[in-house]
Amino acid sequence: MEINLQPTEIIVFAGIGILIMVALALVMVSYANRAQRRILTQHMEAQAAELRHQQDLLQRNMIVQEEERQRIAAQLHDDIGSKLGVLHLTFHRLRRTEAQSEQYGPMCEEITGLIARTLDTTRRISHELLPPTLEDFGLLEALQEFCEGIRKTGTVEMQLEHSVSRTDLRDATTELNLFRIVQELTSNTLKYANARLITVQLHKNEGKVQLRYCDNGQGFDLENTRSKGLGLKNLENRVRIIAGDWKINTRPGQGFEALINF
Amino acid sequence: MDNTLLINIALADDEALFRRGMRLILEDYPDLRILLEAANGHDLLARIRASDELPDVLLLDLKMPVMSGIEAAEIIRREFPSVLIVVVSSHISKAFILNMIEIGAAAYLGKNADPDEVVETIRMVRDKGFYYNAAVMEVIRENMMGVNPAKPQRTIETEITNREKEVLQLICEQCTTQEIADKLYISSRTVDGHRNNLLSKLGCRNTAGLVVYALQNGLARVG
Repeated sequence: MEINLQPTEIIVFAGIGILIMVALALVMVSYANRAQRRILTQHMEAQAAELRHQQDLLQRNMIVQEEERQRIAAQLHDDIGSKLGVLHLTFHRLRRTEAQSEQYGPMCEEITGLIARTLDTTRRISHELLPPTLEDFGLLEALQEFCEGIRKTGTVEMQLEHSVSRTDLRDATTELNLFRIVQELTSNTLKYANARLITVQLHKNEGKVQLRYCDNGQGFDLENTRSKGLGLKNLENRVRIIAGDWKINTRPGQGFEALINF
Repeated sequence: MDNTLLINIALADDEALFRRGMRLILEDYPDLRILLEAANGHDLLARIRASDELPDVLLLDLKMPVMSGIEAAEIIRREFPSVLIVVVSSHISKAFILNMIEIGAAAYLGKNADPDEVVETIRMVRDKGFYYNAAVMEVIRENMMGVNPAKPQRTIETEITNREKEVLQLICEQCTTQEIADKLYISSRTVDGHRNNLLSKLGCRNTAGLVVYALQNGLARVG
C-alpha cells in the first residue's frame, strides 16, 4: 500500500515527533534534576548532622572540662589544702619548742614560711579553677570580685554594672558559663586589646537578660581573624550551652563589644 | 585558775587532724579550755544544745559537710547570741568575709593564720566582743566605698545621744570597756549602760552586731 503524504502532513508529523521528543527530554531532565536535588539534600542533611555532632562534641568537651576543673579544685582544697593546714598547726608546736635554738630556729622559720606560701599557692590555683565565691554567692558577687582582682593588677580599669537579681540568672550552669565568658573575653582584652577600660553590664531587655562586655581597646577585623578564632569559638559554645544568642561588634580602632542574650 | 577568766572554746572543723592540732596548741595556754569539738554544723548544734555550759568562743570552719559553718552560724546567732564566733576558714575572699560579718561573726581568720594570732584573737574577742584584723577592716572599708557608699542613715540615729555616739565610735575602734571609760572620763558601769542602750536602740544582739550596724549606716568611721 502506498502512502502519499502531502508536504504539510510531513511537517505536522515531524512536528509531533519533535514535540514528543522534547517532552520526553523535559521529563528526563526534571527527573535527573530531582534526583540530583535529593542527593544534594541528603548531602546537606549529612553535613548538618556532622556539624551538630561536632558542636555536641565541643559542648560535651566543655562540660567535661568544667567537671574536671571542679574536681581538681575540690581535691586541691579538701585534700592538699586542709592537710597543709594541719601541717601548719602541727609544725607550729615544734617551732615553739625550738624557737630559741640556734641550730633549728632559723630552719623552723624557713619551713613555716614555705608552708604558708604553699598554702597560698594551693588556694590561689583552686580559686582560679573554680572561684568559691561563684559557688556560694553566685555570679554577681563573683564578677564583682573578679573586677576588683583585675583592677588591683593596675593594668586596666574594670567595672561591673547590673540591674538583675540572682533569680534572673537561672541556674548554676548559666552562672558558671557567663563567668567563664567574661573570664575568657577579659583574657583576650588583656592579651591583644591594649585597653584602658573594660565594662561588664547585666540588664534585662525584653524579657531576656543581656550580658554586655566591652573594652575601649584597639579592636580587630572580625572577618580576617582566624588566630583569635578559638576564644570566640569557646564563646559560641558557651552561649549555646545556655541556649542564648550572641553578637560581636568590633573594628580596628573601634574597641570591642560582645552582646549575649539569654 | 580563776574560773571567770577561763575561756571555754568550741571547735568545729571537718578535718579531725586540724581539730587535734588546734586543740594541742590551745591546751598549752592555761586560760583556754576546749569545751567541745564537732565535725560539722549539725553535730555542732547538737553538742552545744546538749552541753551544760555554753562555749564563750566558737572557732568555726565554713566548708563542712551535712551543714556548713555559714548555716550553723546563723542558727547559733539566733539561739545562743552570747557565743562569740571566730571564723577560721581557707576562704578569705570578700564575699565570704562580709557575709560572716553581717551574720555577726566576731572575728574572721584565714586557715593560714599564725596560731599565735588565733590565741590573740580568742582573747581579744572575749575582752571586746569582736576583733577585726587588718584584712577584715580592709574588706569593710572597700565595701563602704564600693557599691553602696551612702546607705541612707536610718531615722534611728536621731534617737542616739551624742554620748552614745562617742561610745559607739570607741567600740568600733576596738577599745575595751575600761579604755572607753578612761577616754570619756566616765565609769565603766556607765559605759556598760551606754552599750546596753545602744544594743536595744539599734536592735543588735551583741557588740559585733553593733559594730556592723554602725559601720554600715555610717554612724562610726573605721581606721
